[in-house]
Amino acid sequence: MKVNVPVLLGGLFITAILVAMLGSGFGHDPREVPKALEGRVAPTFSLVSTDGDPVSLADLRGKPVIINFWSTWCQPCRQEHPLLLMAPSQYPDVVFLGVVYADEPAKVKAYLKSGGQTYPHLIDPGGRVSIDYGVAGVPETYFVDVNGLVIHKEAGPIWPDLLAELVPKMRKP
Amino acid sequence: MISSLGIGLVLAGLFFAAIGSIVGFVAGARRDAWLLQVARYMAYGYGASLISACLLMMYALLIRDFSVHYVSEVGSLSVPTHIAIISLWSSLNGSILFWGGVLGVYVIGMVASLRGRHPDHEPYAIGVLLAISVFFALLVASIANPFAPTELPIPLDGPGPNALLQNHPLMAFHPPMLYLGYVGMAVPFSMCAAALLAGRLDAGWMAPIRTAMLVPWTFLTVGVVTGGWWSYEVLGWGGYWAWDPVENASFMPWLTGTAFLHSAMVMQRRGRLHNWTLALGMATFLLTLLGTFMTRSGVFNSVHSFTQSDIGPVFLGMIALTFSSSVLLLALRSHTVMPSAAPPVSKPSSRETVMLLQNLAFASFTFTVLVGVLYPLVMEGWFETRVTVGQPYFDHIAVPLGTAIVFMMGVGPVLPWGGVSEAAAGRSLLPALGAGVVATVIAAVAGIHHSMVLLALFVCAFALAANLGEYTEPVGVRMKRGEGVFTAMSNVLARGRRRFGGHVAHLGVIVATVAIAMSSAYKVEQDAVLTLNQSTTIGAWTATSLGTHEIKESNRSATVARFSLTKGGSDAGVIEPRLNFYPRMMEPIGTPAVRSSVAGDLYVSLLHVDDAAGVVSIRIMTMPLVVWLWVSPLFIILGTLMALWPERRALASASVAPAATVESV
Amino acid sequence: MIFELCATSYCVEAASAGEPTASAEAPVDLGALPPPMFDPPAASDVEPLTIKIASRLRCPVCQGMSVSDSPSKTAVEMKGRVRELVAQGYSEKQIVDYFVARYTDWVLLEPTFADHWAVWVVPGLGLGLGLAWVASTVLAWRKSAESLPSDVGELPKDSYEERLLRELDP
Repeated sequence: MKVNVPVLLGGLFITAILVAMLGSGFGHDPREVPKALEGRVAPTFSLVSTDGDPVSLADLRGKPVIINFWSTWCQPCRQEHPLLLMAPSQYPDVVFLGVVYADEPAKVKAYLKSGGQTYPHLIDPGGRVSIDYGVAGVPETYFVDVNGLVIHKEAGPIWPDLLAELVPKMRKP
Repeated sequence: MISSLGIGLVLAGLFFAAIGSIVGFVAGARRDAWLLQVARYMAYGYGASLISACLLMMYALLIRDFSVHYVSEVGSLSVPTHIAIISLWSSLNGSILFWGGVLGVYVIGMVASLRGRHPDHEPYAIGVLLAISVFFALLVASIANPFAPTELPIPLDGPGPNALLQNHPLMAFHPPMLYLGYVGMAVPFSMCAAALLAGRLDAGWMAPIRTAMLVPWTFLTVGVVTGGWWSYEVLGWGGYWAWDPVENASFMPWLTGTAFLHSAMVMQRRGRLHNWTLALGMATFLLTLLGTFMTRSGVFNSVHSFTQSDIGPVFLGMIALTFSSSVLLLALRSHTVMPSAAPPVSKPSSRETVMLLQNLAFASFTFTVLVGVLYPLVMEGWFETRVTVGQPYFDHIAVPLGTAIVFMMGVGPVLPWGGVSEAAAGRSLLPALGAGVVATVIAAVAGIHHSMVLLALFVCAFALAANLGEYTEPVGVRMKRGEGVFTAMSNVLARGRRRFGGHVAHLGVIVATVAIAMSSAYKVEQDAVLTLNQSTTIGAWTATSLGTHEIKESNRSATVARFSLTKGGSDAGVIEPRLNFYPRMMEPIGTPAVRSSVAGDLYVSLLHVDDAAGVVSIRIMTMPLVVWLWVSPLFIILGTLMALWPERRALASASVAPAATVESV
Repeated sequence: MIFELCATSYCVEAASAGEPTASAEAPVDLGALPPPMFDPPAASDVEPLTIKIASRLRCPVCQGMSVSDSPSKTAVEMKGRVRELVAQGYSEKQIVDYFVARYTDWVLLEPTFADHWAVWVVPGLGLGLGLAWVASTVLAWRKSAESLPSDVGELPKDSYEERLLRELDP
């Protein structure tokens, strides 16, 4: 039998590479967004809350800060809302900030009125701060330690154990 | 009831396919006519079962039988009837069933159209095609079973299909076209494999393979273009092609299929490129498998992706198996199909050379797109680095290769088989080159200064003149010999319907190229935030905001913004871009308003409505000639019909050309 | 090799995440921008440059669409930010770097040659091999034609005759 060796070896090689490449995609979420900010200084900002109070991140240096980006049209944000409502009483030394992402202040105010509010929610005109943080969807939560560094970014809703794990790290100078 | 019946039909299909496949191979090896007949009946049995299963599922969707699991997933009392029917392909499991059903159509089509004239090859072709059918029937019967009964309690209503599917009538058209294109590639694959298995590839078998490629290729062309059209009409970004992984997945088999149609011609007419042609024909189907994997495995991010599922690894196994068996077939059997003798190519300036270069361009294009698609996947999977390969990358590849391809489309038909001297080749290209130069100068004078557009117009005018010349010159020769205009025209057509079908298809490519070049280079866009009665101007158009209103439809609600239009100062009616809100979607899906004309489109996309402030944000753009892109497949359909139209009578009466004519039927 | 290249850009930053306090120099605050490189451009130049820059950026919430094209809220806001920075006089490079710092070079629709040369070189290699294949095939054809005793491949030079012959050739 006459075997075309180049075709055989080349073809099987290409097949193996291709299958390995396609297989490498399993277990990765193609929709995941890279976390550029972890390990870097949290971008400073000065914004005004829905209640009209100015908040500046630079003034909060030295305190652990949790910044949660959310909006009223996002279902997972609504899911994590009760947890975030409770959190400030559980971790009184941590500053919680909400930043409203791509939403209208009126809708946010109405939502907070009915859903409850325990910490300031900041209006982000033009999404500037969201872009500074590299937000690519909501909810996203940034954990800033006492040195002002982002030690973790969570894309998607957070859960109680995550807070319990990260807050002690944020307290460490 | 429907569940059990559906599962029964799928299992019957699986049975027919499995038995038929084995019988087919045995019939081929033993050259047993009786077994071949059995295999044929099995093929019909598979087709009938899976087509019935598809129809049954449509019926279940229509009567909203929520006891069928798939219906409970995508059905809804609130969606209109036509959307209920097209929900068949709106979600993973239904789409696999649809795959199987379309394959059934092709199985029947192949067996019926071969009409028993190829007893050497037909049993193997049936064997391979039914083996592929076994895989899909198996998927439908097991992990992707849409007929599985719903867990109790049976819901009273369902969520309805994906909102993007509900948003535009083209969704009833684009997916079936694409499926007909994708699935149909299994037929030329099986027939190529049959040539290798039977160890014989003569012109008599090559002709049906070409037809078998031409049919799904035409559907694929239409599917790809309507996909772009849908994207343009629905996604609101004013473009039609984003080099999304799944768009690429449909484009790659189109490229290799096109290359195949040309190299098959070299093979039929000149007895060369056998292995290459077979490899292309088989690769085309392998790429459709890859494309199906890409939409269904959840490893690619795309507007088309179905949700994550465990079908991915199974499909990858199928890809590995099909790829390696194809390689083995080619490596072990390709010597059996080598031609004994081929007409010589005496000069490099021959049609063969152009065809070869054209094939190289298509193959490189495919390879580059594949690299671009796989690169992010590999970087993430192996190196944990996220990277994007998007539009600008592909554009950088597509523009030079596309330009070269269109140019060769003009050179190829002018050069004769076998080659002529360089001087003669130059002489015969001169008129078309002249036409290209004239068109470019006219365009430049008319105000087109974009260099890539000028280049595109040059190659298009050149190719147009070359392809038209192939028709007008013989007509002229006949007229000189005293025939009337119309007699000459129809006589020339009758002599080579196949060839002129090709030329007509080339016209479609030229039209599409001009439309793409002009609409992308001369797109003008602007964002505007308008209060009531405020207006914005773009080119000759002025749009004035007339405010917004809300409407409710059975399956969605919408915010509609109204704008009055003037063009060049005169009234041009009202347009209404809208934002649709579907119960299951958090963000609205826009429907842009498009005002089309042969000269160009006005496109208005509603970005945001702020009721409190009374303002609407819109993106407004103008794009010249974009309509012609949607028109271009009509040329390709016409060309295909010309090529496929039964022409045996016509040819029998035609005078006999030397050597290769017999093969070209 | 690819891995090493990767290690000089994004991966290094990821690796340094474990020991953030070690960096001696003041870390960059992404919230405070350096001054723009140029004077603010003329108003009519802002939009074309905005579209040019935004077309290079990936809309993070979309699939395959650029920030310039996508009608999604996120993309519209990002485009607005580009427009703002252009109007303030930032250069294209500064603005692109601004987004890369926040989203990594994943945000670039076209991979850079420096970090991702493979995606450019591999197709080039493919094309080169293909050209070699075409050349060798054509040469082989020619050789086999030359070895034939007569000039069967020669076609009539006369164009009229040539056309007639080709007309017969369906």
